[in-house]
Amino acid sequence: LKRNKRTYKYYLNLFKKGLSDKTGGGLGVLLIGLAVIFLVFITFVNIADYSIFTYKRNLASKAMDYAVTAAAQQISENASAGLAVGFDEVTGKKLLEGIEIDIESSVNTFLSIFSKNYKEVVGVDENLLICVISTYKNKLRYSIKVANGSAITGELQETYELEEKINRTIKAYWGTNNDPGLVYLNENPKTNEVEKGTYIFAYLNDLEIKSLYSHRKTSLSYFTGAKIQRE
Amino acid sequence: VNKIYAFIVIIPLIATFLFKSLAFYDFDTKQRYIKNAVDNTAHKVMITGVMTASDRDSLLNELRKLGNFEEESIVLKSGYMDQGALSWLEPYTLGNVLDRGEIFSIYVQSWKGSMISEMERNTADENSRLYFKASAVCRIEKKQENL
Repeated sequence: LKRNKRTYKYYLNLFKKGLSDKTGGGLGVLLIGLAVIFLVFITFVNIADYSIFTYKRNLASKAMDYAVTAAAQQISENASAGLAVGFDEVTGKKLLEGIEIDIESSVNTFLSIFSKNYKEVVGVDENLLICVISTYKNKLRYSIKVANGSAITGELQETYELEEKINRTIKAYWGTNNDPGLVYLNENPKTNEVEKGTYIFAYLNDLEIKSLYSHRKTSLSYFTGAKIQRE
Repeated sequence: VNKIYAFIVIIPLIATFLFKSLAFYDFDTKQRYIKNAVDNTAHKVMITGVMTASDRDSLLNELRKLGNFEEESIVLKSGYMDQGALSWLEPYTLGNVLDRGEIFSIYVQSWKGSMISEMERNTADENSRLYFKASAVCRIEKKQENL
């Protein structure tokens, strides 16, 4: 114990000597310098971590764009119609009645294109919601498929009712474990993104993005029309 | 301890951090620009259904400003899709017109590793090099009239 005490005192004196101005005070400079470097290092690692996260989030977002535009092409065979059947002869408007996106093959298309563009994540199908919309007898016909479950179909009178329908499905499926993000289609009776037509909507819940050390989660959504040809 | 000795320790440490930060910033920024350039080209093909030699040249010019890229650095492929399953992709010939529903893919990779790769690399192992690379796979939207 005595020996330990002496050693402790010896080091304490050495430390004091290092801090003292008489002996140059270099130890103080060294300690402050190392502390500053440590702070800079922590900041740098955090910046690098966030930077990698934003890069990967952009990759996922672009992948979502490619995947949804590809999935929107899975339309039924009668989609390409000529002037006589493709347009209303009184108003000249495009007739989209009954043209549907096949939900099963659009999910497959989405998954194969998404995984080609964003290779980091496995099990995307578990976090995916796809909703396809078409018009039928002046009503909005929808079909929603969540994860690997079977599709739920239904009809809505007005287009603005769709946002609530999607959000209710998201809450019902993912709302028990955590608070899921909500989808905004800017829908109200006055203005909304959805028209009575053929559309596809995709939502990815809590996509896990691995960065330098952190694992962040983000939800992405994308909405597009089927771009139906009329020649 | 003299202040001079303290600075001998601190200054190289600060310099190392500075260079590593710069190398990381260089890699991160260029990598983002390269991905953007590839995406812009892919979008153009997605809308028009064709990639011309001038499209390839303008992409190459843009990539050359950011890293070491040659003609062989750009790999173009195309293929088909059946009920959501992707077929085997085959090499794409420039100027070949693709129809709606076909798949187009671009992959670019620099032939020389990035600055951060040169700084961090300990061995001569090729696999440890960090190259600039980006890819995009899209589905053609344009229905071709003349096909």
